[in-house]
Amino acid sequence: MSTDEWNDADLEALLREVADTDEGRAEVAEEHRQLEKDLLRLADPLPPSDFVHQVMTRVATAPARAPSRTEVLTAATIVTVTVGAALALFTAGSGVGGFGTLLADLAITLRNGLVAMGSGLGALWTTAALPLAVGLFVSVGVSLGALRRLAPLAGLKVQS
Amino acid sequence: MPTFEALNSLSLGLMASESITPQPWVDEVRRARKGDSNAFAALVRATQRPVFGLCRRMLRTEAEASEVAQETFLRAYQHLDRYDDARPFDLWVLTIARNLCLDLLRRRTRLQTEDVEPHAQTLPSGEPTVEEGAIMRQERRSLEDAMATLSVDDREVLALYYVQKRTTKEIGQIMNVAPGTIMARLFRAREKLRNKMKAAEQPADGGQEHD
Repeated sequence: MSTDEWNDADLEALLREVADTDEGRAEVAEEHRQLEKDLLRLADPLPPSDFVHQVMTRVATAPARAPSRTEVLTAATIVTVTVGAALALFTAGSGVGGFGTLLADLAITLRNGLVAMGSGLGALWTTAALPLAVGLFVSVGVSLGALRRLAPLAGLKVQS
Repeated sequence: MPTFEALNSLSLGLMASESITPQPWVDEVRRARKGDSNAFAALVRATQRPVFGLCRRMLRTEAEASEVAQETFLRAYQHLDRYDDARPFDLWVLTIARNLCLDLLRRRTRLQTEDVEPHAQTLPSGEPTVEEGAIMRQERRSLEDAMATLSVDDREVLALYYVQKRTTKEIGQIMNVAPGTIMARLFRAREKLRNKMKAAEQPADGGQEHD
């Protein structure tokens, strides 16, 4: 604790609990000081000499960690949602045939979207090539800079 | 005021430095996560003494302390993926050890099997120095004996602060309390210890405090 967090007022309040007079408090404080000196001389006992060996034996023979409740719940949720979505897709419309049509529709829509985006970009490039290039350059540069700044933190894990 | 002149020399805020220390275990943790048992053994070697020491002071019997300390490291190994690299590894392991000790003490209380006087054997000294004489050893023994009669809360806060030289911030992390309360806890624990020592000096009765 830094000394500014622990001030004389706190100490005085505690000393008042144990002694009524200034002399009494001074005496208690002195005894505490002596006690602290003695306490600081104490050391942790040494563990048994084969302690590390015993730990490593237990580590080697211990079964793999059982998944936590959170992990089990997450897995169950993912499986349920996936299976549910798959079932919904197959049952909606007219079974497997309907699912195939849906996929084909999706592919065509996606293709049309990509073609439209490409022609849009082409038009933009022909009318304002320089601003577009500068804009792209800046956005890529900013993204790379941000990634570089985040890179050292990648090794740190958030505590679970 | 004379009281505070005397107190100023107290080591209140002794471990005031809260600077971030380099964490030498980061590499070992990374390798242990990948299954390198030598790296984990190195981590055990580096932290076994404070972990065993805390267990010993909290549980008061060597056999139980050894068992719980081993269990602590096993749990640490099994949950290494949950360890936050930004936090000191020793504090994380000490927190696990403390929780396991408290679990055992709770079970003990429930079963009412706790030996009232289990601390007959005094804790062995750390690194005895040559100049340490018989009187000093006797004093330390008396101190250890008096400390062993305190409650588990008092024992652990004294052990972490004075024996392991942890900062109040670190102790707050281990005990999951605000650092600001640690100094008050330390004062009260010291005061109880002072009274125990006084009682022991006088040939009088001395009731033991239960966990």
